[in-house]
Amino acid sequence: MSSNGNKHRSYWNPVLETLDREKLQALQLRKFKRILGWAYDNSPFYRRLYQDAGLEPGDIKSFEDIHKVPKIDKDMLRDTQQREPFPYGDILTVPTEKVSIFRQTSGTTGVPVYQADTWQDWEWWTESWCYILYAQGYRSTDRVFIPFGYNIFVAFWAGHYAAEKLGCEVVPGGVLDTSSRILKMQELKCTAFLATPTYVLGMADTARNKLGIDPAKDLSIGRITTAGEPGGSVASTKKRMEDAWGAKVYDHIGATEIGAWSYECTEQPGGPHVNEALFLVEIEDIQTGEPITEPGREGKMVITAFDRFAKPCIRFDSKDVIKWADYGCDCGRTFRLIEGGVVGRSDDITKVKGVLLAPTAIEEAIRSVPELGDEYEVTVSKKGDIDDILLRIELLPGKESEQDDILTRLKDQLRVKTNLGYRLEVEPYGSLPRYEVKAKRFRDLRKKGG
Amino acid sequence: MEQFDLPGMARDIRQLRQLAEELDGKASGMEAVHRNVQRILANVKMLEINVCDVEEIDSYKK
Repeated sequence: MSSNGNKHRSYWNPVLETLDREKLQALQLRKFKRILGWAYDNSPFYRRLYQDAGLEPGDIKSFEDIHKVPKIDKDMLRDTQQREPFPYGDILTVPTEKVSIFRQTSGTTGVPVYQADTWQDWEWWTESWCYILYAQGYRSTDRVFIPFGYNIFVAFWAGHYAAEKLGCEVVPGGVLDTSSRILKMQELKCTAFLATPTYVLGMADTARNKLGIDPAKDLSIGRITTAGEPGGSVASTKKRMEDAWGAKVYDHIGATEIGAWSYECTEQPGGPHVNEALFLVEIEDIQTGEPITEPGREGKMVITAFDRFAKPCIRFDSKDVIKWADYGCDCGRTFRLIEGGVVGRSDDITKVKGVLLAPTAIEEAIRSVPELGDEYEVTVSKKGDIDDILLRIELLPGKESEQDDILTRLKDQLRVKTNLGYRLEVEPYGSLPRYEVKAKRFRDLRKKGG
Repeated sequence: MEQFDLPGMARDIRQLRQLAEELDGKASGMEAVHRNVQRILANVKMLEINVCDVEEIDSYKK
């Protein structure tokens, strides 16, 4: 095998993942036009949207023209669900008898969005996860544990199918409780698993404190792929997970309405690659909507899935806040990097005491203090006319005598990372809620429904 | 990229699609054939995404 041959073994698709930027952009334009034409011809929702804007697919001739195409958002997806055909609405491009699988969003931000996929769309989900797992070093020699509740949420379903497609041996963790999952991973000498950052830390906590198992020493996990929360790209959270498991932790970012659109590779250059062969990612200024093409400037993501056909995702305003990295990656992929992953959501970033606050910044501060437990809760409220931030935390067992020093360091970190002061409450270890999928740690009582 | 025979692979993939569609046509509604062909065609689509789409760009640019 030549050195080039070996290099190609790092890529799921060595052609697409190393395509020169000019050809990649030509491919993206061609694929954008194809999905736009498909949606216009087959989805009453999209045709109405585009006709109302006076746009026809033929109007898109250049990459710059893409900005003329109206965006969609989650509220529009919810609205269209009120129309026939039930339960997806008239965004659907195929008869419902062609739909082979139902999923829905978690409902974190409101009424859940229902997602329809045909078998082909499901193959595409799986394919996009093959890019992820292969880039993170998963091979046919891996035994992959999936500690996930296999239900209406897409979560790790596609990861399961992709691991199978790569030739891995998959162990579905299904309805087992956390302790049983850990014991099964130990018994089978599993080499990898997929979970949310919250659950990665929660499993380690259960292993240590309930089972007397040190995951880093007593299990065989070499790599972990995270999804569903930003923690996999938060440096201090990643380090905490890697230390707990003695394993490499790789992030991936995706969403039910979009697909699995980005992945960290084994080089870990400080952010994930966007899979630009399957998705078009645009970044827009949060206030003005002006396109941002330069690195280092945060904006909200507008994304298109090129190859998802039953319920197309075209110029979806995801509210995710990202920025292009100003560096490349030694892995050789030409897919661009987003620095630090998703740094927040434009609807999560809130003004407190006149300062913009992103919940991920609080997480970063907490995770940088090793004596703190994994769980915390933030509540923002009004005391009279003044904003108040209450942060409830736990100390790890045996650290109680160091409380004053720990809290001083935490306050310093919070001030550095968020430029805000907090009211701290220390709760008994194990008393804050534990989560298996996405954690709900941030509440803003100033907002309706917060 | 020149190390890969993209045109040759793309040609084979197009033949796969044609063959699968012809088989579906011959099935005359036999579900055991039709449903398996639909699954094959979903995988053929993944091959098209991985190979044919880019090969068409490549050819277009030459």
